[in-house]
Amino acid sequence: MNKRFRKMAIPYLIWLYLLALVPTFFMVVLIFLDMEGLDTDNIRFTFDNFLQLKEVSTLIALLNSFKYAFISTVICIILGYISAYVLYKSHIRNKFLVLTILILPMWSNLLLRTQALANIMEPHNIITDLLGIKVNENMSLAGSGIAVVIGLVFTYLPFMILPIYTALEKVEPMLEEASLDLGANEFQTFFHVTLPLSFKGVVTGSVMVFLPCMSGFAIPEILGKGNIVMIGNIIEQFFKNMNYNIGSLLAIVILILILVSIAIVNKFDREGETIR
Amino acid sequence: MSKVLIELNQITKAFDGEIVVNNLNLQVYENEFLTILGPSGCGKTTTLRMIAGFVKPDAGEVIINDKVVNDLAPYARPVNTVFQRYALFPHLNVIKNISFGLDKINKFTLHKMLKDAVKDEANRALKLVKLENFATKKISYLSGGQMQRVALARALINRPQILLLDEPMAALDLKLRQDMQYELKEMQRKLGITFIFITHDQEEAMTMSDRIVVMNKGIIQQLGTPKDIYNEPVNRFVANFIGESNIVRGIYTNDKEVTFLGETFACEAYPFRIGEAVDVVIRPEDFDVVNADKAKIVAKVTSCIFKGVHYEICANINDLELVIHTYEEILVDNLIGLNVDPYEIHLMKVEEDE
Amino acid sequence: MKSNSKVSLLSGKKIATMAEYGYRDLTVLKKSLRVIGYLCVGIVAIMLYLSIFIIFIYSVNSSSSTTSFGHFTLQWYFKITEHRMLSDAIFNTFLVSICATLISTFLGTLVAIGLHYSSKKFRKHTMLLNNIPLLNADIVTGISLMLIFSLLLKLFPYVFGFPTILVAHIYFTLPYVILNVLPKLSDIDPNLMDAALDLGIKPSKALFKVIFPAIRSGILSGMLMAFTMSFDDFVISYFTTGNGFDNLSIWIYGSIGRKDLTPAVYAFNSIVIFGAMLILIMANIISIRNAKRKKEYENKK
Repeated sequence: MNKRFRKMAIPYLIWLYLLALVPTFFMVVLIFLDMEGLDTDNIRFTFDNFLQLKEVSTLIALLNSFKYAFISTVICIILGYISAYVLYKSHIRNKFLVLTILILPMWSNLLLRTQALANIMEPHNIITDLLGIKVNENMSLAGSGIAVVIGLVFTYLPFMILPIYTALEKVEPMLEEASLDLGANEFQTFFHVTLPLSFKGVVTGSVMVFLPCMSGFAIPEILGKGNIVMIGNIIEQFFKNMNYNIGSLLAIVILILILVSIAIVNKFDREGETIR
Repeated sequence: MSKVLIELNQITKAFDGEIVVNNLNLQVYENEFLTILGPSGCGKTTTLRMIAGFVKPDAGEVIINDKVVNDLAPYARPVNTVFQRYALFPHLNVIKNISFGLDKINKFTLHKMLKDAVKDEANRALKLVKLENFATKKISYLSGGQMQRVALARALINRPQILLLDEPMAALDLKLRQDMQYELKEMQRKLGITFIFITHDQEEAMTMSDRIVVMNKGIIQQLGTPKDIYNEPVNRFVANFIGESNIVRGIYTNDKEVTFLGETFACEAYPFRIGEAVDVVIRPEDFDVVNADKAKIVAKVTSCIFKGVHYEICANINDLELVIHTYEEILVDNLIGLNVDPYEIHLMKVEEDE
Repeated sequence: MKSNSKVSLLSGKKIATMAEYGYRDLTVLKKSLRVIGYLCVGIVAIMLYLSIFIIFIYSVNSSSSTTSFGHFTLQWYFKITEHRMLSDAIFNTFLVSICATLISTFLGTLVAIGLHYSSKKFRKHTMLLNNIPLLNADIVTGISLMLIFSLLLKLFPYVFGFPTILVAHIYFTLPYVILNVLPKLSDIDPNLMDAALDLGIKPSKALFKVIFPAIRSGILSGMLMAFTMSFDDFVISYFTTGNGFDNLSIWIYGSIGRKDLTPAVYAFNSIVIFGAMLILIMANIISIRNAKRKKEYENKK
């Protein structure tokens, strides 16, 4: 009798094929074509698009993406793990409250938050005005790599804390007690029991921070002020200029990186416990 | 008895204002198998956790080897624990789990031990619990019984003076549990370690223990050998918790004489006043069933259930229900006579709050 | 080993020290690490809330400059509706988010129920694909959807705008609803549905009477997540909109580029944050009260 309900899931599978898989194949096809926008008049088959991968600007953007995403992820891991651990140990067993504190900032518009950060990185800003301090013009962070890293860390830190906190919550306190009981002190217990058992939270968090850091274009644009170009900016430019072929190529490069990351997460977290 | 190893001195512990352990005093001797028995929530696990060092008492002292260890971290105490659901490390295999204690001690402390020695020691522990072929198995592939053995080997490898077992058999099925009871007892005898065993299963407690502590509501109800506790329960709680029993109100009418169910019976001498109300305890198997005309008590059978070895009979007398165990089947509605030997009648003081 | 061992007042016995058992006393180290930990939490809290605080200051600043503070004012809060472009963008954002959330909550719940009763193979296959919208980079999702929608241009020249942005939002919010509802379904007693049908209730009616109430909390949390994601989205909306249909994020991005961001938008953002804070605090109080009531009920039992 319950089989009647099965029919309700089939349209969704079709929807996913249509909106998730078909465009990917479409993009793969576009890589080998040369045309203007999606105009089919002057279409021609070519491998020239791959030459874009050798361009210095592309390579710098890729390198920047990796560099800033990696640095931000590492900072997020350190700050995120420590704060998740403190929250977990603080006997605030009210997970809802923790979630509230972490999720609330996300209700504020990402671009506005980024713009606000960009503003206070200028030597003259609202805080220096309110406090009446004068800052040396040369101390400005605006438009620097550090500004981009700060923006990325401030924005994506909750995505690191949440999975780590979830993973820590699943570590049975009894296991830590067992370790203490067997003669390991608190530090040995942390490094040999708690950390390995919550590591999948770190892996999930790293992916959830690394990927958007690497592929985003708004934060580097607003905080980097055009000095820092990342791969997302280049893709955006190509699509804006109706060059869908090279744009698709770079998007596929990101897609491959994502697939690799998902494979890594799957290796550590088979049950998918820490992804939401 | 031999030397006192652990002493709990006026220990009190409360959680959220609710007293869990109330002014508890207890001495545990060397090489003893002591069982703390009680229903869930009676404070037995909290008592154990205070000995292990996971919980600090609000008042009173935990004394091990004549030293107050209240502020001593769990890892420094000569105590190891077998946890209720084993608490095996899921990220380590069997042999790594077992040698965990030695590995950790190796790194930081004064006890230095060679790697090979650790390996030998772990293998010996593995052999002790008969799991030689499982050394590199993952924990998740083990059955409940095997996990329990790993937990036991892991706790024993540090050669503790005291082994705490927190309801280790709760997750095992009946047959396995009986085998394990025997093995545990053997192991304790062989190793000469003090075992403090926690359970809510009175049969398990009876089978293994040298002494039993019956706890309820954070207070020790009775402390004694299994025999004492079964034959001479001190109050209704103990009588009901340990085995089945019929408890009826009676009067200590004379020296070595008690009246209940409207009849007077001979009994052993008790230090009660003449005429004092008492609770009379008679175990179901202590009734002798005879013809109705040959006994003082006559009861009407209301049910008779076959229990394997014996029949369990419920019989009514003056609206009071008695439970009787016999080896013969007696049909419902028959009248039976019940005799009790004087030494099978146990008298208890009536508790005030009833 | 220290010789100045203390003696207990209660029993007159010696108090054990860590050193006697061959261990170092780590109390000082633990305490200092705890301080570092709390410091770290403080830094993280500042990181999360600094920009929100700055936005709030801008929203009550009489000067529209981002570098100097005039005096306290609430004027910008009243100017939100006066600013045509801004109020249009806000309206569009709510329109898209609310429509997308309602549709994906309804459809997502039905899909989750369908998946729950499907074969394991079908479910696994679908759930694997279900991860794509969740884990894919926003920019790739946005581009993918834009390309698919472009194919429709020949048939419907004005398709870009509300229809495309709505489909895109439904696309990336559906997985959140499904992932929140599905676990709740497996918590239901499998006999419950059979029992209902056995009592002669029609399957469609049983769905509403039996299943929906049991998975209500999952539907609600899925809905909340879907709305949050939809409300804050920029990249996917940016690529899938067109014909001048701007939501708030797109409009802000444009304004930042033109350097003419009105403080009214800061005021709106502050209202949203205060509103969300109020709702979440209330939800928190309710959940605490429910937990307390539940505990009291159990104690009575």
